[in-house]
This record gives sequence, structure tokens and C-alpha cells, in this order.
Amino acid sequence: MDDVVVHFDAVTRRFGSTEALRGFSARVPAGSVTALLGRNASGKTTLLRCAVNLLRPDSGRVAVFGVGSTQLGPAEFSRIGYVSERQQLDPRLSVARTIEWTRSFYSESRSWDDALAADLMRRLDLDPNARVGSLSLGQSRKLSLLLNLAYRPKLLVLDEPAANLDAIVRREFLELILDRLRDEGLTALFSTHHLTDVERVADRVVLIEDGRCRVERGLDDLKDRVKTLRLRARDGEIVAEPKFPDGAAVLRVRRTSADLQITIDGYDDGLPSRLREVTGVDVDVIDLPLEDVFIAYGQSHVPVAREEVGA
Amino acid sequence: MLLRINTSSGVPIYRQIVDQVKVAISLGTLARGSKLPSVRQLSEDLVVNPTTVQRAYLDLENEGVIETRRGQGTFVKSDGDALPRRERIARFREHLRNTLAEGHRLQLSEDDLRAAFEQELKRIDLDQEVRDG
Repeated sequence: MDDVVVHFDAVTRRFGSTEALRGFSARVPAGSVTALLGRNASGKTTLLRCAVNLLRPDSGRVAVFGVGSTQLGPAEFSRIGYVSERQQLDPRLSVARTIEWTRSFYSESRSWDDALAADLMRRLDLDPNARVGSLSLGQSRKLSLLLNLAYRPKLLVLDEPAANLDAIVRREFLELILDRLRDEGLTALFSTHHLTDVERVADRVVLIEDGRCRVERGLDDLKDRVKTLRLRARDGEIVAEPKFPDGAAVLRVRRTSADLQITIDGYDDGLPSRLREVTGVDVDVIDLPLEDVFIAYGQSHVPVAREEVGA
Repeated sequence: MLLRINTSSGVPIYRQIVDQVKVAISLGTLARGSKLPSVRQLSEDLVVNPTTVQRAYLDLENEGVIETRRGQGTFVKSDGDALPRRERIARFREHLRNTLAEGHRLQLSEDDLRAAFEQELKRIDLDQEVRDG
């Protein structure tokens, strides 16, 4: 399974009486940018912390580069970058000292790239003499990103990298991550609430709900297949809910005074004309932003929508 | 090439790229035979994942709109028909459907709609608006 960089297999984890993860399974293929989405307290942070062995699963297993997360050693960690919402940096050190100190950890693996670090420093507009404690939230998040990119990791795990950042810094982050993607086959797994960022940067989406994987799909596939159909009879009569072909799941049905709106997963370009033929009503197709796709999924009871890796 | 990505429109980004390239070709703003930016360059310009651009170029190539010449890059085909008449009509019909739905909401009769359509049709100088037959 060389082409799967992170493999979550039936991971469970509880905190006291709270079950944060309830048998979560999903895979992050090599070279993908996988967005981990879900509501607050759905288990995103717990999941990412399990992937980098900051937490141990109660049961199940996380494999990173084929190695069980609890067995990860220096060789693997030198290939993993991890940026979280709460990064632990010494507030008394200067930016330059912090970089030097972090760099010293990579003297053995020789993976630290001074030229890349300098380039990131310039692009992120960080002041080397500033004390870490005096940095704004955006600046310290930038420093964390620099510290986790300069040793050229093969896997980048980002827990809400954009939380509380303004649109400009978020865009800088996106551009940087895309840059690294273009330069080397970086694999990224990141959680976020910014769905428009996801549309730009991600090619794969994992939706977590109540500690379980709800959707695991290519982003384009998801957007091509999940659509809302608006059915309207010409004479204003009430439209009956049509039958959909096998393989198409109805996520949500809304009847308004003017039409019947059905959100389905399993749309294809021939569907509207086939529906028009069978039902004799007008059919309009509405493309859905990612946000609406997830609202539809959140309100439905359709089982896990999974697509084979590499399909 | 001037492309604009809208992340809240609901249309997948690769399809936005495909559509906009086709429209640019049929409007002549993207000349036949001209070179397209590389996948890397376009992904940088648009701030989108390179695989998205790759997918768009692949679709355009499969549809015979663009071609990749080894070692030289990607070009708009000189003989390609980016937006065939059939597809242009389909697009127009879609706009028309929405407009007619609006007419229904305003409770206009079919005669009202027809008369309005005819009048608007006369008002625009068709010869100037319709290009490439």
C-alpha cells in the first residue's frame, strides 16, 4: 500500500465518557491534498493528533508511511510536518533563534533546507529579530508553517491552519502550500472550516460526523455527482417524487410552493432529459457549493459514500 | 488568458476552466494556435491545485479543443470547434428557460412573453451580435 500515506483503520478514542472517535476509517492517498471537514467537536483534532502520535487510539490503528502511529520514530517524523492551532513555541526566543533551534533537530537527517527557509522567511515577511512572544497570531502561525516546511516533509498535517486568520494571510498560506505541492510530491491532510479554501486547494474530501467517516471522495467527483434538481409542473400541479436509478441516493427533498427540490448523490448529465421524459415536468439542475453539499449530507441518513482510492 | 475562478458558484473548478477556455476561443480573445500557460503556471495564477488544472487540460484535449505538443507545451487547436453551434444553442436555451420562469412568476401570459421576445429581438442588431454563424 505504497500509494496510501495515511491509513485510518477503525480508530476509536474516548475522553472520559465522551466518544470522540467511533471506528473512523479513511485513507489519504500519496500526492493528494485531503481536506478533513466536519462540525465542531466532530473529532477532527483528535483524529489528526492520532496520526502524529500525540494521542494513542483506544482501538484500531493509524498507519503513516506504512508504520503504525505509535511506532513512529525520528526517521518518519523527519518526513512529517504538523501545524496545529495551538503551537508550542518558546515566547522568549527571537524568530531567528527559534529557527536555528529547530534546525538543529535536523542536523542528522540533513533535510533542513536553508535556502528554502530563507525564501519562506522573505515570502512570509517575518522579522528575524522579533521575539516570538510579541508576534501576532498570524505571524506565529506563519513561523510554525515555516518551521514545518523548511525540512521538506513529505506529509503535511495541518489542524485548522487558517483558524482566526484574516483572508490575506489565509491566501498566503494557500499559495505556499500549493507551491510546495508543485515543487515536490507533498501529501497534505488538513482540517478547516473554510470551504472556499477547500475548493481551491483540495482534491479529496473526508467528512467526519460523530467520530465516523461519512464521506470520502474526490472533490470533483463529489461536486459533479451531488446536485439539486428542481422539478416543476407547467400547469402548477404538484409534482410526485420520481424514482431515481440505482446508484443515485436522495439526500434531501424539499417541497416549496413552486417546485420540488431534490438533492441527489449520483447525478449524471443525461439524468435531466431522462427525468423530463418520464415525468413530463420541467427539470432544472443547480450546482451546489461545497457548503450546500455538506448541509445536504448532514441532514440525510444515507450511509457512507466511499470511493476507492485511485478510482 | 484571463480566467476567473468562483469558489462559491457550485461549478467544479476544472469545469469553470474548461468552460472559460472554450468561451475565450469562440469569442476570439484566445486565438487559435496560441499557446496556453503551463499547468504549473496556471495553477499558480489561479491559486488552485495543479491537479485541477491538469484535469481541465485533459478534458479540453479529449474534446479536441487543445493539443499538447511534446516538449513545446499546450496549444489551442487551429481547426478545433471550441463551442459547436449545438452547444451554444443549448446554453442560450438555458438562459431562456430561466427568463421564461421569471415571466411565469410575474404571471404573464404566453402571448405577453412571445410579444416581449419578438420586440427585444427586433431591438438588437442581430448581425452585430451573432458571430461565426
